[in-house]
Amino acid sequence: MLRLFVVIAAAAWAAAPLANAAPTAIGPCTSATDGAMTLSADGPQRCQGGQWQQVDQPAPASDTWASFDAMTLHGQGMQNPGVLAGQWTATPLSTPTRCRAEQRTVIAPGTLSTPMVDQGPPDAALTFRVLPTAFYVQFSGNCLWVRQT
Amino acid sequence: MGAASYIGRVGVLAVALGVGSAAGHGVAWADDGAGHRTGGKGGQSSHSNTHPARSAGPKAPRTKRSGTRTPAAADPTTVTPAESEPAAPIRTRKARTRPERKPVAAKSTTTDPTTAIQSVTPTTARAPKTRSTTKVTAKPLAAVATTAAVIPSPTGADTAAPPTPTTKPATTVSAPNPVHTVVKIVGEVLNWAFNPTPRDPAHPTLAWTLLAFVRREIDNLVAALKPRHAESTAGVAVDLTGLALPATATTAAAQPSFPTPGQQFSSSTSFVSWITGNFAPNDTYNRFGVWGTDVGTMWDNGIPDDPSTPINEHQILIAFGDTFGGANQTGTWRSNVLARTSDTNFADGLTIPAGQWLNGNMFGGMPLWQSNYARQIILPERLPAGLPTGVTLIPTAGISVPTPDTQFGATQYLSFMSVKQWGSAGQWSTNYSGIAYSVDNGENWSIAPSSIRQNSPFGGNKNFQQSAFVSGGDGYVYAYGTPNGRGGSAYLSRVAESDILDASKYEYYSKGSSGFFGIGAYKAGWYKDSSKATTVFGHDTGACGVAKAGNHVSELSVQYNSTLGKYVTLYCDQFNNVVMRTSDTPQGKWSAATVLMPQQNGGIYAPMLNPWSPSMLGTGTDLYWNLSLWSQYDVMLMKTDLTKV
Repeated sequence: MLRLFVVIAAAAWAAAPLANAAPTAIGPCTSATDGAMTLSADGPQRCQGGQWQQVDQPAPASDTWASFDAMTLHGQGMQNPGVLAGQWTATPLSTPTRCRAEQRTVIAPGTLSTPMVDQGPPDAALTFRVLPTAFYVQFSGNCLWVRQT
Repeated sequence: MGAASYIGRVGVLAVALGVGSAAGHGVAWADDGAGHRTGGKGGQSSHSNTHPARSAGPKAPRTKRSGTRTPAAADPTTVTPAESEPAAPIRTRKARTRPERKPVAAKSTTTDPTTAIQSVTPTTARAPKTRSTTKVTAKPLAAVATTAAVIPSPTGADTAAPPTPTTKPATTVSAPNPVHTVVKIVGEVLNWAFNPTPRDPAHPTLAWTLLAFVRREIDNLVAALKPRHAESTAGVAVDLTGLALPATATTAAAQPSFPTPGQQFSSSTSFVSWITGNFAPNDTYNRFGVWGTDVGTMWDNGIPDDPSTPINEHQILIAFGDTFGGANQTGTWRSNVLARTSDTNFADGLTIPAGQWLNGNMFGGMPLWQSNYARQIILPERLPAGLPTGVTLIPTAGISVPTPDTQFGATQYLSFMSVKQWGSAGQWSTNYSGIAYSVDNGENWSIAPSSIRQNSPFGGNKNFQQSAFVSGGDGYVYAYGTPNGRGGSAYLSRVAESDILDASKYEYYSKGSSGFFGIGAYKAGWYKDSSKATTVFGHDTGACGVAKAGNHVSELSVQYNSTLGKYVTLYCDQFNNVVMRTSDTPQGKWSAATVLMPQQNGGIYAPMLNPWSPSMLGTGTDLYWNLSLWSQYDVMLMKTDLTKV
């Protein structure tokens, strides 16, 4: 039993840094983010009436997302994408921040490309393309992401 | 952040386990989350310097874009205008049948079923045969070297040479689960410490004694905390005997909170158990690298048990779609994988047995790329030349056809769709559908060029992008089809068993047409022209019709139910309800849809019938089926009591 205790304690300690890497709390739902979606530890949320509200899964694709930390969404290379292909613009929601998008596309079923990164200047907008075969896109920075339709 | 960052702490953990010699040697190993190992000094943290494409978690940014776009291709398909005499597809079935298999002769080469299939003349009835129902648990899952396994590399190169373990595709998306990482690393350390060849099945007694002690202690703790859970894991411990240390983690993994065991979703339908996932009962993650997957279309492999072998060759094959080695669709990615089981008692769940690795046995729990890592079975490298791969290749239906001249006397056929692009929930476009085949119980698959159906706006192939197969017992395979996405309805075709790989040999069912004032009218029946196929169910019109349950058909399955004496179909409708219809014949008239399970938050889809359900075999009234849950991204086993529908 003593050995078991040591195993559990050591395992918990060893895993602690990853646990801390979990998504942080999402930012406020304001007029700037009204109608936007975000991804929290509890799943997708939509900003409505000044409050973040849980969205049923599978969540629909949205043309407006707010990121408060690293947020990973599927593109159209994976079923139930959160973001659709096209031109996107990121605008800082606060300063200092830096909007950054990293995407990987499908090369063949089961194989992804190396990451492709688009990063704007500090506290400035970023425009980039989400590719049609994007498997995932990781957004970071306190930014509002809007797809140009 | 890769798991390699935690080498130092794991080194301490190794000391705590009494295997400090591992750290004492100054070397420990950690899976970096992408199938590669990164060495580190014991007791110190280290960061991997692997290539960005292969390392776990956030990658070193590349500021230069180098994206690749998959070309779209949708070549118009010529539609054969020739028509055949409408035949009355009347079916009489007493029991499912199985071919007698001759003693297996060792073969290391595969036989092309397009030439191996004996000519089968469609008849109106088939001689009754009986089904073996031997439980797999009656036989120990021993390694049996009967033939040389032909294992394709991830690059898809055909080879009959002795297989070499290959590196799994490195497509890690985010950091691995910390608990699993720790357990896995400790496993590697223990293996390193007690066994010079970690993958060697012959583990030293000392190591097994230590592992048994740890597992027993964890079992005791779990039992004290939650007796019900401990009971379920005890069974797993028996099932997984013979597996390496990672199986120990099974006892620590908690099942999802939804659904709860036995949870009732309607008066007839309840949740039984999980089939996939990093938890009991199957813990497909530690045994096969399958944390999450979906679909799970099932069929009987048609191979009778060979009493002279310790493993039951008569199995259900289960084909899954996009498969991931991490939580929330992260980790390594495979487009499709396959599971196999001889379990016949589904009241306590569906058991997937251990894999068989490098011993020539083709009846293990899953075809493998590594001893504990399932491999993708439909490989893009095997596609006919000139076809786009799309973003994924998803199995939609499987069936077995007797082929006496092949290794096991039966060939497995698996219909799949090449997804061109995914859209919003329930929407996707396909490049084409096709059929892969295997003569070695799903271990290796080839793709028949003649089976490809381009998703063209012209002709009827666009209505057969997703399939459901059912044997008619009359020499025909009946193949249902739906368009891409979830907004279509069901169409029906049929083909002689021996011609299943030739799309030009299919006939399509039409309800007939009155033409234009009688001009061009034709009767209900079977026609060679795919554009004449009409919907057989799932297409209600009018203000009331579109609101009816059962309108729109997505990811259907169809099988013959002996207890009901009818064909049964399950699918999700426009409301994402799971609905059931029945019919006396493959073409209908199909009954109105009955809702077995209403839509659920989290997203349910792909209800796939279990061919060995008691009601399918005529031995009871329970109907078992697989169901995918998007929020968990795993496949679960459901049960419907047909007496309460």
